[in-house]
Amino acid sequence: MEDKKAREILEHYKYEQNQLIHILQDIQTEYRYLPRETLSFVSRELKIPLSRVYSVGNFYNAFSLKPKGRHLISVCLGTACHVRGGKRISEEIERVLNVKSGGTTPDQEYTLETVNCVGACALGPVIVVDGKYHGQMTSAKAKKLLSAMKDSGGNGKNGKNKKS
Amino acid sequence: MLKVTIDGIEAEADKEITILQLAKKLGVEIPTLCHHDAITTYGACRVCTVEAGIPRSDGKLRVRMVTACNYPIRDNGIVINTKSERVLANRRMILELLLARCPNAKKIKDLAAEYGVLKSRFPSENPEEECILCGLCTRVCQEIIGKSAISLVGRGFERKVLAPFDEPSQDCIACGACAYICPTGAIKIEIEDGKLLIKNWKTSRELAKCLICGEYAGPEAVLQYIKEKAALPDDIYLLCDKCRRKKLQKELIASA
Repeated sequence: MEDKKAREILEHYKYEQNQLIHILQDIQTEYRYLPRETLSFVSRELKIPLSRVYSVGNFYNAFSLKPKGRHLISVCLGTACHVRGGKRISEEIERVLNVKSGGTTPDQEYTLETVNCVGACALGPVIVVDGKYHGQMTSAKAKKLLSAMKDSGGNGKNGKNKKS
Repeated sequence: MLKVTIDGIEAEADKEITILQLAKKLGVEIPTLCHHDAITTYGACRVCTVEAGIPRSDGKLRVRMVTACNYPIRDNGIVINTKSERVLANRRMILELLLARCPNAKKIKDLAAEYGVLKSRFPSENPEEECILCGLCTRVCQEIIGKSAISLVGRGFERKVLAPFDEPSQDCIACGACAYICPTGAIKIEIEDGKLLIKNWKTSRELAKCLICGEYAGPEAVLQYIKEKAALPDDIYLLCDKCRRKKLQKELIASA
C-alpha cells in the first residue's frame, strides 16, 4: 500500500537510515500515532528490519502505537506536583472523561496521560493540555477546564468539518 | 604486547583483546551467559564482572569493576582479579538478581549454586520466566542469520524479546538459531503436524521431508534460504543431514 504522507516524510529525509527517529516523529505528528502499515512501509523503504523500527517505535514515550486523541492532557506527577495533589487531579480527570490514565476516549477526542515532571515545579500541580501549561491546578479547576474544552470542542469539530 | 597480571599470573596480551579472550587463552575461567565467541559482545548479563586495576602515574592502582567480555586491554601493567572477594561478592549479587527473575531456569540455578547462591532474597514476579534479556537471540538472528526477525522491545519492566507487533513474523524462517543459542533455554521449539513452531515468536513453518528417506529435513523456509545463500543444487538442499552426508560421500568417492 502506498502511503503518500509517509512517502513525503521519507523524501524530506532523503531515505536516510539514521533519520529513523525524525521520520517516526513526523509520522507521529501527522497521524497522532504510528500505524502498523506505515511502520512496515518505512521499514521496507529505508531497508531497516521491521523488528528494529518496531523496537524504536516502542522504546520512546513520544511514540504511540495506538491512536491518540485529538487533545492530549498530561497530568504531571513529578515530586512537586505529586505532593501538591497531582494524583487527585488525574483521578478527577479519569472520572470526568471516564478513561484510565494512558487511555483514549472512545470518540478519539481526549488522551489522558501522566508524566513525571514537565519542568514547571513552581507552578505545581501542573497539567498540560495540548502543549499549554495550566498551573496551580485543582480538581475543580480541571473539571471547569474540561467542560470549557468540551464546549469549544464542538467548535473544533466544526472547524474540522470545514477542513475536510 | 602489553604486560598483564591476571589472578597473579603474569602474561602478555595483544592490545585491544578483551579480558575474557585473554582469560580463555590462559585457562582462567570466567562465567558468562550473554557471550558467544561468534557474536558481538553486549555486556548484558554482568556475570563476567571482574576487577581491573590500571596503574596510575604515581604507581597506585585505580581499581574498577568491569565486564570481562567487552573490556579491551589497553594499558600496560593492568592487574586483573577474577576471583577476589569483591568480585565474588559482586557476582553473587548479580546471580541473586538473575535468580529472582528466573527462579526455575536450570542454567541460572546451577550457576548460582556454584557460587553458593541457593535462594534469592528478592521477590520473583513470574516463576515461569526463563529469559534474562541478554539479547543473544536477537544478535544471532541479526548477525549470523541475517534476518533480524526479533528484537528487544519496550523499556524497564516491560522489556521483552518479541517479533514485530508480537505477531508471526514474515522474517522468521524458523531456523531455531535463537533457541540454540539461548543460555537459559527460554525459547521453546516444538514440532507439530508437520510444522515447526517457535512459541515465543508465534512462528509456524512447514517442515520439508527428505527426498530420500522421507524424514523431516528442516523447515522449508530455512532450506530455501540456505539454497539461495550457498547456491545449492535442488537435489542436495532437500535432503536431511544424514542422507546429504551419504550422498556427498558417495559422490566424493566416485570422483576420486
